[in-house]
Amino acid sequence: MKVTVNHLARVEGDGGIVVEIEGDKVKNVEVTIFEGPRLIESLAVGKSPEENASFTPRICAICSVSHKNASIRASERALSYPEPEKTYLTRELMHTGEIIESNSLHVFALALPDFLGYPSVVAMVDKYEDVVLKALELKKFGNKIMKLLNGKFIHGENATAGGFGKYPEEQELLEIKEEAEGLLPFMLSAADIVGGLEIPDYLEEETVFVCCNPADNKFGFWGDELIFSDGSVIPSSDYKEYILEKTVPYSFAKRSLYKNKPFTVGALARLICIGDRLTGKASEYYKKYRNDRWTKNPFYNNLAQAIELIYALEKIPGLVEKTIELEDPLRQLPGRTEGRGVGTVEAPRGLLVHDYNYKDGLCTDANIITPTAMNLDDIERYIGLAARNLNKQGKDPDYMAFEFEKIARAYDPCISCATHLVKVIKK
Amino acid sequence: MKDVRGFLKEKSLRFKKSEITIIGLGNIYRSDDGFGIEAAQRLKKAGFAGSYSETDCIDEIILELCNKKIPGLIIFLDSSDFEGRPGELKIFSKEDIDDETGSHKIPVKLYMKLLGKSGKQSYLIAVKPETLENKFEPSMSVSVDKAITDLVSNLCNQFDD
Repeated sequence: MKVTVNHLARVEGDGGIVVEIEGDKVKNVEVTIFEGPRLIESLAVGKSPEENASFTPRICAICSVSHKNASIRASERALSYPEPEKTYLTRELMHTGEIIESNSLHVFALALPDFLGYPSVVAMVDKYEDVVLKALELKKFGNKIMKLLNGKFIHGENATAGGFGKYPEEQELLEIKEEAEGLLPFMLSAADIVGGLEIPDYLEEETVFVCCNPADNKFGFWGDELIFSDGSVIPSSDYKEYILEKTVPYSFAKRSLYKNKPFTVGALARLICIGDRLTGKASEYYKKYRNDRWTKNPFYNNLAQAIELIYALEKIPGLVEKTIELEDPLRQLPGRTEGRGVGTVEAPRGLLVHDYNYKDGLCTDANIITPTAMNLDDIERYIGLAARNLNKQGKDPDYMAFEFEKIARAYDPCISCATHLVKVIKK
Repeated sequence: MKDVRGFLKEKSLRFKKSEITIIGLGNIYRSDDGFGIEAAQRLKKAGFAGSYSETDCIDEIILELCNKKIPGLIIFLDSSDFEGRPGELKIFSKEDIDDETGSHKIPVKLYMKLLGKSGKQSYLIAVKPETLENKFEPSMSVSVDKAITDLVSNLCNQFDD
C-alpha cells in the first residue's frame, strides 16, 4: 500500500519524508531536504568580521540573531576582540528576544494545535482566542526586543563584531523590562496548558542530547563548551572531533553524528543537559514537569520551549537592570589579524556552530553547522520507530502520516523555503 | 477588475479612507510575488496612511487593530496562483483561503479571524502572477504592474475622507 501526504504543514522548508513499510517491517525512512545549497560558507571567504556578521545571518530570517551572535563570537575569538560587559549583556538580551519570538510561534501556533486536536491555530481561535492573542503579543515582544537592539526584527545591522552601532536608551530598556514582567503570568498559565497535554508514547527510545555549556554553571544560550547528556564536556573548538558531518544521497542537507549515532539538539536538549541550573519559576516548572520520558520522547520539546519562555521572561528584568548601570562602550577593535575562532550559540532550534579562520583580517575558510542538520538523523530514527509501532498497532497510513508530520514538527525544523512531502509506502 | 471595482465601490459606502488598513505581503525578489509589497508602497505614496508591508512586522499592526474594538476595513494584498489570467485581481474572504503556517509566519487566515472578532472586515485582494522567478533586483511583469496601477487608481477614486 502506498500513502502520500503532499504537504508537511507547519514546518519551514523545502523537504519531505518518505517511509516505506513492507509487511511488519519498516524498510526505509528518509527525511529529504531539497533546499538548494546556498554556499554561504564559500561566500564568507574573503570577508571581514563585520561583513560576516552582516552576511552569514542571511542563512535564515527566523534565526538571524542566532547566526549573527554565532558569527560575531567566532570572529571575535579568532581575532581576539575584547567584549565589554555591556556589549555581552546587550547581545544576551537580543538573543533572548529571538528565543521568545521563535519559541512562542512554535509552541502556540505550530505545535499546540496538534495536541489539542485542531488542524491549525486558526481553528483554535474560537475556543482559545485569549491564548492565541497573548501568544501573538509574546511573539511581538520578541520582535520588539530584536528591533530595539539590532535595528530591525529580521536581519538588523546594529550588532556587529566589536559591539553595537548604538546602544538602547534607558527608557527603552525599562519598557522591555516592564513588558516582560507583564507577560510572565500568561506564560506560566500557558506552560501549564502545554504541561498538561497527553504525550503519545509510541516512539520512546533514549538518545543523546547536546547543547552549549554556558559559563559559571548557569543556564543560557551560548558558551565556549559543549555539554552532552552522557556527561561529556568538550571545548567548542574541538567540535569536529566529536560531531561528524556526513552527506546522504537523497538530501541536500548535511547530517551529523556523535560517536556514530544520531543526537538531538534544541530546547529539550538544553533542559536535559542544563535544566537543573534554572532558577525561579522556570526551575519550578522544570521540576514540576520533568519526568523519565523526556530523554526518550521528542514531543517534550514543545514543553521545553514553553519552560524556556518562562526563563526568558524572568531573565530580562535582571539583564535590563545590569545593562542600564553600565556606560556605553566604544566599538572594540581586533587584537590580531589572524587566527581561528568557533562561535557556538543556542539558536531556538538548537546548537549552532560558526567556525572561521582569518588571515590578514579576512576570512580564509568557514564552516557552519545548523541545528536542523544535526537533528535530521534523529528525526528519521524516531519516525522509523513510530512507523514500526504504529504499523504493529494496525494504524492506517493516513493516521501514520499525520503522526510522522507531528514528530517532525516537534523538532521545530527550519529548512527554509516551501514545498513539502510526506510519503508513506506500505507494501 | 470589474469584481474588484464593484467590491471597492460597495465598501466605499461604509468606510472612509482613514478607516482602511492595507497590508502588502510577498517577496519583491521573486518577481510578481512582490505585488503586495509594491502595491502597499504605492498606496502609501497615494495618501493611504495605513498602508504597510510585510517587513513592517504585521503582528504588531494586527494586534493594535484587534485591540481597537471599532469597525475598519483591512485589505491584505498578495499574489496567488488561482485560475485566471496573469495580472487578474481577485477578492478572497477568510473562508476562501487556507491556513498554512510555517515557522516564519502566521497564517493570514488567523489574522482575518482575529480581526473579525474585533468587529473588522478583512479581505485578501490577490493577483494572478505571470512569473515567480527569483531576481537579484525587484522587477515585475507588465501585467502585474498594470494590475497595481489599476488597483491604486481604483482605491484612490473610491475612497476619501
